Amino acid sequence: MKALGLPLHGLFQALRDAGLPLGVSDYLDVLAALRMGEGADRPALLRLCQMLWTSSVEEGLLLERLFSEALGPPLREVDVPAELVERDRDLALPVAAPGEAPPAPSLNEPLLSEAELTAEPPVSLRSVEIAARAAQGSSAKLDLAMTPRRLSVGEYLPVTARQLGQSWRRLRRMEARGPRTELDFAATVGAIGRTGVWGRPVLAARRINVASLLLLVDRDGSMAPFHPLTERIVESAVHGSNLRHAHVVHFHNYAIETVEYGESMLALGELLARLPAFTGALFISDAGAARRRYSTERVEGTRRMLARVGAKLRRAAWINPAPRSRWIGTSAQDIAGMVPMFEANRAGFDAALRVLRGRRAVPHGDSIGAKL
Amino acid sequence: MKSLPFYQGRRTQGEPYLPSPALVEAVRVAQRLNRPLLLKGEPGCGKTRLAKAVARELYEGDPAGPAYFEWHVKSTSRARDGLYSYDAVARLPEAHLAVLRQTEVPPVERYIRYGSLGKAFLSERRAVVLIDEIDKADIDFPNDLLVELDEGRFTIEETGKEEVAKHPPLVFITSNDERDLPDAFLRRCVFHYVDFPDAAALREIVRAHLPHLHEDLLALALERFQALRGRMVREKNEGGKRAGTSELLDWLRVMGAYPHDEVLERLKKEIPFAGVLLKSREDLDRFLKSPGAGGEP
Repeated sequence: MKALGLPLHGLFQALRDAGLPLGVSDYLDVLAALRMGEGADRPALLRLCQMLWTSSVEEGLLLERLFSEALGPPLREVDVPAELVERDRDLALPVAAPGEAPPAPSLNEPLLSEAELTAEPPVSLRSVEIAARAAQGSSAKLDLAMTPRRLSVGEYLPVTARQLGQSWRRLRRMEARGPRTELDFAATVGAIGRTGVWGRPVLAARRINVASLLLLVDRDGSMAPFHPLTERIVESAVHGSNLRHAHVVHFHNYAIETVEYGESMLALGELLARLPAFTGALFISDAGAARRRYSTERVEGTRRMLARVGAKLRRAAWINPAPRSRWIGTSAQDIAGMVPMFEANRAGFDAALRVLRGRRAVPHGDSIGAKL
Repeated sequence: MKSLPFYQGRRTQGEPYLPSPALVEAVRVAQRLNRPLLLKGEPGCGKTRLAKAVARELYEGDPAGPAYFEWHVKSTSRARDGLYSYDAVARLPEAHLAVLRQTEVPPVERYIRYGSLGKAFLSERRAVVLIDEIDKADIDFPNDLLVELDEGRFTIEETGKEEVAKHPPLVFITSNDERDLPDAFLRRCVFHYVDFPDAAALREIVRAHLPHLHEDLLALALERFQALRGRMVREKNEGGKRAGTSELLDWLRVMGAYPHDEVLERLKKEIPFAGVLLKSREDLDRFLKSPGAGGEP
């Protein structure tokens, strides 16, 4: 008895490995659409997968690349023991018998036969499981057909964009701002109770998140290898968070008077004057740990920078992309004593945000100052 | 639940809308799977107008007109407002007055107003709903609508009444991609990126909107426009604003209002009425005044 491997399973798995948040229901959606007659030729199938499995142009391009790799040679047949085959039908795709040259999928040739398209029984979860078990059983054959696992850039960085997004959302500061359009029920009832007379309803403004952030990112040469990481942090703060304002400035090693804001230079004092006092300041720098150097000049310069920023913004934290073990004996060690400093992983990031929210830094293992 | 035919991208009465075949396919997939269709694309590429065009086609010939509702999301929008709102501020004094006069207190239901999505759910006919610029609102906003969109029902908290959609509406959602949307929401939607039309499609769109425009003006204008746009695409980075379809149509409309020969002469030498296409000082300086502006080799 022959049953076919799961259609598009290799592609689906490759997308998941690349970090796309897909689940079984997404896979079943594509199967449902296929059964309804969509994706009847190769370009249509690609578009269908893009429609249901991606949500941006970038993801669509990634899928297109993986699609060509996955569907280059068609799926192989898999030998399945008779007892695993059920009445429920799986979808059939044209395959080559082992030994034959695989047929090149033509643009006009439908991937599903007429019978498949009109078949009634739903693709049940059970049949999907059966095929999966069969696929696992004959792993030797299927390894050839499965695509090589690709790791996206994201896998190499210590925090993913989604984790960052979730972390940023904890940075909230709710204040009533804007036009007074909401009924402040308690105040109104209180007013009526006090005066005994119906006057006017007491209105309040809506509470919105006014949390604001200043990101100070070191752009010195030693930070060049960490560029993808800092870019991701900045991008997630600006686009993927709920912050009302996320300002990003750059400096080299330290900055006391001026910082780089976009393409131009900006006076630090002027920038600080414009920000509300509850703005959190997050520094991202290796603080000398990347080159394993101790520089008095850098330490002093950083001290003055921290003092300058700290005079206006009460809450500051520092993210260091270099691992903690490398901080010792470098400028980073001293600087970690001046400001709560954390590694650039999920735990460190969450701890830094805790500081920015006004909580105390968790003592164990998070701030190097506590250890020394 | 096939009360409506599939959208085919036909031209209907009123303003013409010419979707690409891929877009028509995306609408059909969304209809088949009964999922919202999420549209991204450059501003001015027609994302917002699709929903109305679909409604017009699907209800063509229906004397009652299309069952169509729009919800333009603002940064202060809350998910609940799209379903309904309760006017507590109006009810309080009227209730107080009723108590004083010892008449019956007006029922809560009288102060419930339905929003666009709520009306779509309650519509007797299967409705088409546009939720425009969903990325403007709070990050939790899309997730707050998930259950309602999934199940086609919502509860009015003030009365406890549950409203169930007679026909789950066909939902179109647009995003300017200024903010990320939550994963749970994205997975629920069918996604399509509305590309800028190619030269042939662009010409068709222009002809559909401006059938009386002189051909020689149209041809030269399109050539100028394509050259300008090519430069903008090459020289501006991803997020930069580029002249789009709606700007092109506006530009042609302006030129069409002037004497034909005069405008044609100007067009041969420069880009007249450049402010319609280029919207910043920087753009005007860069693309108008430097050599090569206007499509010269």
